[in-house]
Amino acid sequence: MTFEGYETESFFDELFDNQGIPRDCARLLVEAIENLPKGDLRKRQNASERAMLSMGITFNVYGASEGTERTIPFDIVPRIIDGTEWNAVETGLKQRIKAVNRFIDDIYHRREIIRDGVVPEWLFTSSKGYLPQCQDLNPPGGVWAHVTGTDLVRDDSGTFFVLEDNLRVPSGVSYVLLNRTLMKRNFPEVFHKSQVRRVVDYPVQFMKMLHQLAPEGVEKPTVAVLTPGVYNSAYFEHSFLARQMGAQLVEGRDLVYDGKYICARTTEGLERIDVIYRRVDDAFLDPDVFRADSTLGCKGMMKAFREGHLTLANAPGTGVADDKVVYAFVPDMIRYYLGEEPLLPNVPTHLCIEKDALEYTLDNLDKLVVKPASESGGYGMLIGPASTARERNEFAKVLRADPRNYISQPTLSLSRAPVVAGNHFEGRHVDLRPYILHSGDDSYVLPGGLTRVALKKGSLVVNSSQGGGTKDTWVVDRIPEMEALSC
Amino acid sequence: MLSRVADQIMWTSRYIERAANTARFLEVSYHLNLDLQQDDQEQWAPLIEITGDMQIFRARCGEPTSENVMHFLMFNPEYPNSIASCLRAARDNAMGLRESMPAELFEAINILGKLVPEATRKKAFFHSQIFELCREIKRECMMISGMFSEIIERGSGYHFWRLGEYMERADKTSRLLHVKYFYIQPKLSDVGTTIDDMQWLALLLSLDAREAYHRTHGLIDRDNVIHMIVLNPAFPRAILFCLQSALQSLNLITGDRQGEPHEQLTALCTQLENMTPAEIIETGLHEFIDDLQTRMNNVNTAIFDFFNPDPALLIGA
Repeated sequence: MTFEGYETESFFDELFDNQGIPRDCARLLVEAIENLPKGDLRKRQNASERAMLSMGITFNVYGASEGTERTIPFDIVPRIIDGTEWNAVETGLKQRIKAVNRFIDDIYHRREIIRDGVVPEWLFTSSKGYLPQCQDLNPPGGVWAHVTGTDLVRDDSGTFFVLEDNLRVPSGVSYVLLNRTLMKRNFPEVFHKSQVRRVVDYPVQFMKMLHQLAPEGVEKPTVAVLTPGVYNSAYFEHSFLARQMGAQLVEGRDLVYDGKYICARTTEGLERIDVIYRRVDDAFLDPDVFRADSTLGCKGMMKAFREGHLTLANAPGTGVADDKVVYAFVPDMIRYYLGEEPLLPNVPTHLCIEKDALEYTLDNLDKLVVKPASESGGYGMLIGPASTARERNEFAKVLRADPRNYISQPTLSLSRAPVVAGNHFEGRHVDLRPYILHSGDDSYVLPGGLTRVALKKGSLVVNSSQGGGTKDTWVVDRIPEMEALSC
Repeated sequence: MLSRVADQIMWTSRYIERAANTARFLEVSYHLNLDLQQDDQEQWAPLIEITGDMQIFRARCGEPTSENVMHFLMFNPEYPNSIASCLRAARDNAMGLRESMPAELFEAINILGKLVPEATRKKAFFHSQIFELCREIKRECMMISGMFSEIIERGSGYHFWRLGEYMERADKTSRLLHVKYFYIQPKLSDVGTTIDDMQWLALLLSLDAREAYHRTHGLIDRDNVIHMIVLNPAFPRAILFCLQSALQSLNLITGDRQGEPHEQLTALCTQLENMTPAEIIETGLHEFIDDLQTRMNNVNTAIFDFFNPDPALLIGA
């Protein structure tokens, strides 16, 4: 298969410039692909998809009948990012996550940022993720958001923008690790020559970070991953991470509070747990404090956490900053807490709670993307240019009824990357989710991250629940001279 | 190990063993039926009796004809002890064990869980198919048990698997014997006749013990058969063998930490080690098996309690 006839059209393409010439960082890969025997790439693509199925890398589909398991589609052409360019993104992400952590800590303590008039008070009081029960909590190291999966997009000029901060329980990192395993098998030589930055040590970095933020005085903490159970759509990821990190995989019913510590019920008796990486939402963590009907968490968890006998990652209450209205203020937070200019720009955002912005949004519904402030997974949003007049009318009603809960943004012309479509390549829109581990003093950013791709032609929605697939993402450090190469 | 995980391991192996045993009963009964040309119900009702679920059966299926019985025991998705239900339950349990189980083992259990639902249920195909299906299930279950032996380290996970497997098998063997003696009560005129022999043979056959029996004992003799399937410490489907193996695994899990299940299981083994077939007959086979089953149930409860202690008690301690 060759890239002959591949059109970048008017979009920014991740692998080709607008003349159709491979970008320097992608040259080795493009040559290698073009040198493959006919039909070989498809064969590799199919083999990779089969491998995922037999490895059980599946997710459960909500609402579908029992036992419906699917794999997330995987495209074999990796997305490539130049190492130098990545370094700037990495610095910007670290800056952002540091400021956001300071913000959350401030909101649950003295709220100086509000007193100083930088952000309005209604911002947090009306945020669905704000938990009054977390007031004056002091998580170890002052870290609230240990793991973040920030979504980045590029526009038609190739500039990176932050689209949203996923601060609660971002998923998908297992796909980064597994995609990489598959790609190393498929393109070992290009991989080697390009000096692709490694992602394999993510679970170890994760474990180190959790150890560092264990409750005070605990030398060798016992770490557990808390899953809602086998019927959760991301169960595979939970069990995969637990295995890779060497942590215990627990469910709520395995836990019990002994009056001081959270313990696991084992065949040897109770075993104290010091750190929980929880993949259960705030509302379900502790039936004594939050939803009383929850069986996914454990009574006493908040008490153990509050008294410093348990580290929860991410800390409950972190969701206060995981709100698309709060997002709009992150650049101000960076200036306020760090005294720096933001390195990664936000997508320009109109807050519908402001009268002018609401009017502007209503007048331009056909051009804008309108999103609910606290939903994820691409649900409940309106993509103006792709909508019908009737959908816009319906949406306008919803918007007027609850303006606080909506923001609008210009429809970005998202960058594209080539995917295998039948027996040729076609461009599809992509975004990027790097994973950031924050330990207070420093952060680790997974090089590259998860590239999600909207596999439907022309679609801008990359969520796996809505037909999105994934690609491996290579951050490459060596751009070699032209040289002959074959796989 | 988490108590839940230990419990799920035991149930996974239990369900697989249960499905395999039911497949054995079905296969042998089907054969016997062909040979004896007997009245239908006389032959098939006991298969339901041994599961202890005759009432459920009658409510759902009516008369215990061969087709009704086979269909119920193989396919019924609402009956928790049908082969289809057991294999699905094994798969569901294994899902929760993925992080502690090698991928190929999970795959095998996963595939087995889908085997029966995907088989055709049309009655026209039934007779030609059920036999092959039984053999396949038996073979796959043995394969999974064999994989466990070959690739799992001898830690507590391994021994919980064996504990579930052997306790289940001891129970099923006892039920099989129960049927032979209690429900196919030999008419006085049948004792020592071909019919009687055929029934004992069928029993041995469903335990894969027929050839081993003939090698050791020659012709069919009631006491020798009872010895073979109850008191033989060397035959892997004999009750004593199963209980001794279960005890061994239990001891390897807990080491010096002994308790209620250890005591009960040791007592049970000691009793059987010192018994003769004649004493069992003297006690009355029915009474003997009834007592045995009650005590095995108690052991199962004691095992659960030992490994899932009430947290309230632990916190107080």
